[in-house]
Amino acid sequence: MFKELNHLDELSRRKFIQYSAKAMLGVGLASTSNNLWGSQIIGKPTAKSVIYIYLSGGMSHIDTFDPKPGWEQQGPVQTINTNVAGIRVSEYLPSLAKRMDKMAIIRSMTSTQGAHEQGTYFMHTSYEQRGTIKHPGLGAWLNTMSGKTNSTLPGNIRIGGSNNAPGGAGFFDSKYEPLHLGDPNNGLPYIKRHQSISEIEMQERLAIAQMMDLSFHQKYPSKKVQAYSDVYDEATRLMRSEDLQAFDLNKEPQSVRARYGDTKFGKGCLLARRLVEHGVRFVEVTHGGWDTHNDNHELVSNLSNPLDQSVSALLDDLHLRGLLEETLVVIGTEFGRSPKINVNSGRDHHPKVFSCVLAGGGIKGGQVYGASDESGHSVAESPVTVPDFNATIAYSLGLPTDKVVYSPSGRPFQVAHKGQALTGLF
Amino acid sequence: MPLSTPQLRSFVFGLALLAGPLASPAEEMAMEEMQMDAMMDSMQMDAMHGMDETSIELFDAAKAVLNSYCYECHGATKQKGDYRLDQKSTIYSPGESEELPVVPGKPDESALFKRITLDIEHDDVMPPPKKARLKEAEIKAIKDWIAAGAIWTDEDVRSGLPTTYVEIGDEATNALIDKINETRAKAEYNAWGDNSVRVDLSVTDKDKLKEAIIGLKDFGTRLAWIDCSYLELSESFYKNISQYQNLERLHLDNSNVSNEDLKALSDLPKLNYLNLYSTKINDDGIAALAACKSLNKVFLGSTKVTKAGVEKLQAANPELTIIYK
Ligand code: HEC
Repeated sequence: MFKELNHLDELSRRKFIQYSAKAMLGVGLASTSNNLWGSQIIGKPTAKSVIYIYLSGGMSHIDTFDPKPGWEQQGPVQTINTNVAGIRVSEYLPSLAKRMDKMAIIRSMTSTQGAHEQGTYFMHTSYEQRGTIKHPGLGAWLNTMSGKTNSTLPGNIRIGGSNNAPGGAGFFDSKYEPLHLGDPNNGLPYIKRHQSISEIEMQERLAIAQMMDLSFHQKYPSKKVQAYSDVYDEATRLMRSEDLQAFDLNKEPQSVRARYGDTKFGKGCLLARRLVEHGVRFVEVTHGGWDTHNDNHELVSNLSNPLDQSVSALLDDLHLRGLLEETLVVIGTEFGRSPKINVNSGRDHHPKVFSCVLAGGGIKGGQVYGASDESGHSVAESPVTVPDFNATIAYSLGLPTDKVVYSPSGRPFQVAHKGQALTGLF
Repeated sequence: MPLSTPQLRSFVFGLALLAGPLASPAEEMAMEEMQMDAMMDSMQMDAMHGMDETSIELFDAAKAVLNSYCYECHGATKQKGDYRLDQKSTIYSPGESEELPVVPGKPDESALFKRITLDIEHDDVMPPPKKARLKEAEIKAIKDWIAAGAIWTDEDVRSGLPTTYVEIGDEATNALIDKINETRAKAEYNAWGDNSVRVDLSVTDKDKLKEAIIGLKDFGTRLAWIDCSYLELSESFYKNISQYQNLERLHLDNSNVSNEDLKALSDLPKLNYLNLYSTKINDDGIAALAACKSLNKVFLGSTKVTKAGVEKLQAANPELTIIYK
């Protein structure tokens, strides 16, 4: 079977890039029937990189970005004003509230997936997890379609979380697999020669590896195998590169590090900023533990502290450096949590409606898109599906969301499935 | 669920292999396995292909022929020769003969095509002799479909087809982009679809910067955005910046830009974003920015600019957003 498949065309990157935003602009404009945006001039999406803050476990929307002060089961959390008149958030987010003018909150997110693994998969790939096919994540799409920017650093990096979380290279070449850094403190593993290996020995190893590769390539002249030797090449380049210092948080002044906070997540955000500055196009920082089936309010309050502090510092830094306009900052999660408080003072999974946030990358700040009903149970206005959300991210990066790509089994896939970008946000 | 399949942490893996302590035999075996896996994946990868209106038309035409001449013996009811050609999952797989019926791109190697072109006397001819022959045009329909890749576009595929395709860019610009990208500079079309180009020079290979700057010139008015952050550029580069008359965004953050160099910027009629973060610019330098009428955002953090300097610039240009501290 593979023999025949081999003969089919392969996808051409050049072609990919040539499909334009023009089409998408057209489509997007037509679909925003809600003419709130009608009078506004559509901005230009300017993102070239993404920092994706992923809150794994499912962030309680009504205790964070979509509070419901009138709802009887809101629990012991107050609602506070933001620096944008008319937009209020939970008291757990005092610093972000002061930066509301830089953010757009989407309060009408809705997912079809109510379990963690499936929900995470859906958020990352826009496809429901089924069968054997592995779908690529946004980072892989971005790097395949428009190429990575930095010459030595990998284009797709993941900080924290599990190293086989979904949304990697999927059916793309393995070189688009995100580089996973478990702990931002440790920088890049194996980046230094082991003390038992001298420079000469390393050269020898390289030579041997190359010889082995050569015979392997001759035997199996396949693109994926080529990708492996690309990995060696890039690894060696990187080991000798000055870009390596992008990974070194000690290069930041103490005052800056303090603003991000002395937490793993805070360091992850700081590292993400450094990487984006050095031309890495997609960085995901995971902040886990949001699965608050027990003691919801205490946990959400604790989890919100680093989120509030570190993301605020990140937005400030990017803004001051003039990088916010070309860095899309995303706060995403797999689902929200039930408006009803359970017997363990917790909240359960709730994909029906939840909130996500976008900032920078040409997004106009200070807005709320969509709404949930009075208890935060269902979408009340302008539903945004997971593919729509990802299409919006793709749009800000100038990726052609209308381009179809084929998986090995011949099924059609698109960067954000059939999502419609919310062009009104730009 | 498929998630448990070990994903390739190839990058770190590469590093570990080169720089780590000696690998154990078990690790080496694991590596070989990974390479084999990679190969299998790659074969699947190669099967990805683009889809357009043409392949749909070709498929429809070929399918109509197969339908009227072959389905009765190779369809849902009968599978003569243990071969079925009315569905994607089987049309490419050989039946009893064990010869590949359809080799995408190669009609002459495809048993299906060979059989319909055989002489009526031949044992293998299809349809069998007592049945009606295919017409010239019908044979050609099959040939064209196979030659173009034998793409099976069923309903599932079609419903995923986009409604609008608009191509951006042109050959000449594509060539310029490819050329400058050889220096590892990063040039691409802007997302907003007006064929304008952005170039990130800051990621250029250090020894190829000169070459990249020469390549940049050819873009001329196509350039809307240049990123020169972290670069040491020559005086003449700054002096000649006004050749890019359509420039809208300019990154000079962490570069060696000097007060003097800023004077040339007032000759850029569309410049609206200027990033001078972390440069040696001071009040004397930014005074020149008052003449940049199109400018609406300037970044002056981590420079020698003082509050007084900022106020002066603001007074000269009240619309300007100054990001300072
Ligand atoms: C009347 C019945 C009949 C019709 C109509 C017919 N075939 Fe066949 N076909 C057969 C039989 C019987 C065999 C098996 C004997 C042989 O290999 O020649 C066969 C075998 C084949 C094979 C070889 C399968 C394998 O791998 O063993 C191909 C390919 C094929 N047919 C293609 C066609 C095509 C294309 C058409 C229509 C243009 C067609 N056939 C129409 C009866 C038919």
